[in-house]
Amino acid sequence: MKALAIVLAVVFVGCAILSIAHPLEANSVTHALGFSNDKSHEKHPFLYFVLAVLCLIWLRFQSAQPAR
Amino acid sequence: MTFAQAMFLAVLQGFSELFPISSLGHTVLIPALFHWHVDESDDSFLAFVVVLHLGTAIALLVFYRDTWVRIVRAFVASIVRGRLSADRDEKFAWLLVVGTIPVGILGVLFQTSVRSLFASPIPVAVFLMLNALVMFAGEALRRRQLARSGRAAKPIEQLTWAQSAGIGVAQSFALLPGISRSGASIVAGLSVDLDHEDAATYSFLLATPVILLASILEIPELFKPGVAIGPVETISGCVLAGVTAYASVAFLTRYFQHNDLRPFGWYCLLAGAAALVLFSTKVIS
Repeated sequence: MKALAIVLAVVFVGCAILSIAHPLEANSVTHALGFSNDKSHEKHPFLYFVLAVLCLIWLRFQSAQPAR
Repeated sequence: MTFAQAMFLAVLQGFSELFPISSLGHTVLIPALFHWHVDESDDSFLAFVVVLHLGTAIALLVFYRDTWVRIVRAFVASIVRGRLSADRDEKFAWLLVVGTIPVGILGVLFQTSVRSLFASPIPVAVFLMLNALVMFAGEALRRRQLARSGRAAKPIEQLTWAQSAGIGVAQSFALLPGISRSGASIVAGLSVDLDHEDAATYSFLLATPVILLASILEIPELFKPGVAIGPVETISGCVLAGVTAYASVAFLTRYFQHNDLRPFGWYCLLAGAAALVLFSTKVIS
């Protein structure tokens, strides 16, 4: 599960970068994901960063010592 | 949009955002019903809606201020510690996070496309009637569960992560104009054995971060070139929506101590049916 948390965090950071740069041609998928170059996407980067942070918190919860 | 129309919309927003009758549906239907020439894709209108949502979110934060202070403290403490303790506020905080994730993802990814497809009077009228049926079905299901098992309602902290996520998914149906955010999440709460009061409280707490963050992220809309919304309208709209929302949540938390969703269901059914007849027969175009 730790590996999954790390992979998801990396994926979401990648998505955040893509939604800030929004370099892709506009179609329904890239528009929904915030990657399209037809407009700037304000909410998508925030969402992806929040999800990445939550994955890191999930990782921390798994890494912490169990309560005695 | 005149000043009076703007203030009417502010009251409507503050009232209908928390009552289970769909604020978005009413924002589409009312201007059409009164022949207000409001362009809902216009930057000025969208900026004004942001202000109204901000007022609503602030009202919710103020109303539940003690709860939010406890939740945020518990949330931070759990992160610092790196694990969840037996503290009920920590469980509550993380249930809210888990419940917010589905509506956050679905809202950001699909809000624009869903609204562009359905934000016109006839689909709104149909969804408003569907909203009513969902509330009636939720109440019937709850009564049947109680009659069969006799189980007492459980407190919010006893929700499982999956149940909280489920309530969050239910809340996402409010992306469809005419489906109420609070109605959908209260019905979902009832279906997992919360009582009406707790289901409503959980629904309002779950809605707060979504409405607040969405409106904060849209604040740049206010400063776009071409946005013609004055400071008087901005401040008056925000305050009026906030005061109305505060009064609404104060009323509803008391109302749901002893009452259920059925009166709102009847309202949505009748309003939706009337709107469907009026708009589909072109009595109102």
